[in-house]
This record gives sequence, structure tokens and C-alpha cells, in this order.
Amino acid sequence: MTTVQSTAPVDFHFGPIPVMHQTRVDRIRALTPTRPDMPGADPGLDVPLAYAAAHHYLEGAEPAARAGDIDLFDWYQANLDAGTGRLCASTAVGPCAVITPNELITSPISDTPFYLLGPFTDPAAAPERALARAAYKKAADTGFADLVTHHARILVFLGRKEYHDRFDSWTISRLPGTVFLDHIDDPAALARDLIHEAGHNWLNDALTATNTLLPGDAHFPSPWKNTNRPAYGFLHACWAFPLTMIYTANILDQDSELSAAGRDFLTRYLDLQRRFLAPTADTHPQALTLIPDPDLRERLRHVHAQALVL
Amino acid sequence: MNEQQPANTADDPISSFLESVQDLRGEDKTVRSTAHSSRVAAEGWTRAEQNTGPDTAA
Repeated sequence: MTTVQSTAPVDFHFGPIPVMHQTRVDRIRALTPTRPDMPGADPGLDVPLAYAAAHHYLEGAEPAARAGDIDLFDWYQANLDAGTGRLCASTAVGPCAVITPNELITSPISDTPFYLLGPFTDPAAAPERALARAAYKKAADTGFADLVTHHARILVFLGRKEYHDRFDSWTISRLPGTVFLDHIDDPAALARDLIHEAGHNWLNDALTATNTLLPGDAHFPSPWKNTNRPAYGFLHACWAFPLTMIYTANILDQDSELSAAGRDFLTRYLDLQRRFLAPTADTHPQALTLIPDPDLRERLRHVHAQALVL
Repeated sequence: MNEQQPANTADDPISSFLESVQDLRGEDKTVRSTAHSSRVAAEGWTRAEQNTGPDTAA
């Protein structure tokens, strides 16, 4: 293992994304005509949180409508933000909905299980809210405030784990701004996965906002999954893993409060990520040629290059 | 919650809603997820990635 130093902050402000967020919120809310007897959208939600919440409304209301579940459909019609406001914890990046669902949903809209905010959703208990609050602060303190502010405002906790366990996390494109995370009682470890999944949401939004369509027949060898992967997955990996490497380097360098176990966990993680990222130095430039937008292409190149020298 | 058959009339709120959803989604039927698994065991990294489909990311 080698020593680490903090690296320059990443600029996550990409102009087309906030424009798309606002447009999308407006379009989703417009699905339901305004009625004086219904509260409609919560005016207290900022755009990134409203963006995440609006997709829970959309994905919840549509199946309710198709199933003819009038009560559930009416609830969503009356709660265009899917009740997000009452589920929020105050964090360093603003209010964030924090959920610990008892069970997840499976459906054709996702390859992975997921959860939709609805009338019976309860906020997470105090310990989980405190853990989330601390993780958002770790992310913000290490240069990722803008990323998690705009791309991870709904946090769904999965299983509780220990350092030696396998950690699963995911996002789904139908619920941008929501992250699904296994967790351990260590906010620095949780922040790693929070940033990783927020990174996926950022890239999905960036690809959508720039109308980027990646060819399905271009494949690249992925050291993480030890297989050839489509450009979409490869570019995502070469963006999200470098972000967690940068975060890990920063927190190891800056955070004197890390436990010995937490420091060992993150040090091993960074050391091993270096080995996975190294072989992509030759192939990532080829994959980047598939990104037509020069600004987006340069951002992906820059973060990958930053992580390569950690 | 109660289940009823949705009406077929265009001015019914459910039908109107579903038509609007179809317009909103347009041609974009893509569903992608970004499942990721990691394990940093005492003996080192284990390649424990979970492959959940052709479109999954890291």
C-alpha cells in the first residue's frame, strides 16, 4: 500500500443537466392538472430533490393507473412529490429523503429490485438518519457536495453489513436522483458508495441531457467484471470508480476521525482500485471517442486521468 | 387499495394521465441499472461483481 494525497476537486456543474432537471420536473408535474382541492407539488423542495421525487410519483402513479387502483392513483395525484418532504433528514447538502424499506419491488422497469416512495413509506429511524447525515457531510467535506446535492437526494438503505461483507449498491435509470445502498455503521464507507452511485446518476443525466446514444456493439474489456462490456457500462465504470478513488484518497488524507478499521478498509479499497483502473489507460481513450459532446468527453477523460495517478 | 377497471374514455383522468405518460416517455423505453458489488476482505479484494443484464454499469 502507498500513501495518498488529496487531489484537485472535480467540477460537477454541467450546464445541460440543471436545465434538463427543471424541464423534466415541469413535464412530470404537468401530467396532473392543478386542482384547488389537492396540494400538488411541495413548493419547499429544491429542483434536484423535486427531480428525484417526481420520478417516484411517475413510476408509482403509472402502474396504479394501469391497475385501476383508484385510491393509490389518487394519492399520487395529490402528492406530486410522492410525499418526499415528510421523509427528509436535514443534511449538509439540503434535505434528503432517507428510507429503510422492509421489502423491495421487482418489475420490468429494472434489472435490480427497487423501492418507490408511496403512501405507506415511513422515514428511516433516527440511527439511520444520523448515519446518512454523517455520510452526506463526509461527501461534502471531500469535494463532492455538488455531486450528491444534484444526484443522490433520495437514499434507500438496503442491508446492514460488516467490513468483510460484500456491499451491493445500485441506481436505476427510471429513478434518477435515488441511490440504493448497503451500509455499515461507518459514514466514511457509506459516503464512498453514495458518491459511486451519485456518479452513475450524474452520467446518466449527462448522457440524456446531451442526447448521447452509445452504440450497443462497441465493447471494451472491463477489469472490474473481468469481461468485455458494452461502451455504456465501460464508460460508467471508468467514471464512477475513479470518483470513489478520488474520494477515498481525499478522506484518507484529510479525515483524522477515521477508525483504524475504517482506514484499513478504505486503504485496501483504494489500493485494489488502482490495480483495476490501470489497464483501462489504453482502452478508455478509445471509448471516449464515442462521446460526441466535447465538454462531457473532457470531463470523463479528466476524472479518469486524475484517478490514474493516485 | 381498491381495484377497478380503468375507463376507456379519453376525458377520464386515468386515461388522460396514461396518454400523457406515453407522450412523456416517447420513444425512450430504455431501462438501465448500475448494479455494483464490492468486497474488501481481509485477504484483499474479491471480484464479486454482480451482472444483472447487458445494460448494467459498474
